[in-house]
Amino acid sequence: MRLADLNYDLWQLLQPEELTVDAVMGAAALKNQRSPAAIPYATGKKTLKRGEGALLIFASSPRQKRRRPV
Amino acid sequence: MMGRIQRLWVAVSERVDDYYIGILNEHPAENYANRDFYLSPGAEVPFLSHHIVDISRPPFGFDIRKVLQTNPKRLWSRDAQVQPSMGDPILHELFQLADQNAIKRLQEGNCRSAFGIGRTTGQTWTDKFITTGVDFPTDDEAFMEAVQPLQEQVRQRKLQASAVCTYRQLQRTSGTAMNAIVIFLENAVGYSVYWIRTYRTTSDGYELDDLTAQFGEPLVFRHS
Repeated sequence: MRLADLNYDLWQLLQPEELTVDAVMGAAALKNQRSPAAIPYATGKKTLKRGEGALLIFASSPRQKRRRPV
Repeated sequence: MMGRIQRLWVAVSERVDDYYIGILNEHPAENYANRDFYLSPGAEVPFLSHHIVDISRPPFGFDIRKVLQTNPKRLWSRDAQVQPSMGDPILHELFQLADQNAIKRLQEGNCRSAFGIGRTTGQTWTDKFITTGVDFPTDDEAFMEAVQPLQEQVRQRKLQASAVCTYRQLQRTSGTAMNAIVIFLENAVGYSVYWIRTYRTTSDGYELDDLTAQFGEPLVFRHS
């Protein structure tokens, strides 16, 4: 996977406004938004397995007039 | 204006390096009726551990087994560099042709204002990658003058999709200007795929970066 190589701000520049990185990747949760049960997973002490569920936060920018890259 | 946030559950389907791949089973919000919006039920969502908010109480009706048994409707490319077409053979062929064409243009002369057009009936690329001007101005008006007839054919469904390759100077949010090859395809339904590859001038010519961004409907030519 080359997600780390994606040039995110360039990507955002060219996408419809809703398609921010956070909208696709999930926004990093703030400390007070995270449940105690999620902390071992968020810190990497535990890992989720196939078939488990995870709650993510998605952020979107305001809906504006559709923009095209050309 | 502030953006909105929303909490959504995903079912973990696999792990790739540091990333989890989750499958969404909800629609994010009412104004995501826009079919272009990637996040939709059945879409793969990559995420990292620090994105996890909760793992303990999936909502009533969130059947993880059912989500996992359903084939994902929108696949996240596992390797954006070698799989820009995300499985669509016609799109794959187009990207290869467009890439070759763009690189050739870069290497042979002034590329700042060149663009090309390809088209397809949905079966094959009928005219491969047609170039219609080496030094055509890239301002929007001139560009659209060349593109609109093709778009009209797409709208009339005489063509299933059109593709446009152009060179743009992009202003990044950091303020830095970068040159990039931009290819976008538009199908009969309206929206398609963006493909972006940045490059820079060097003493030896041009240095092209890897594919830096690609997004859109994966199977653009499947639409009738």
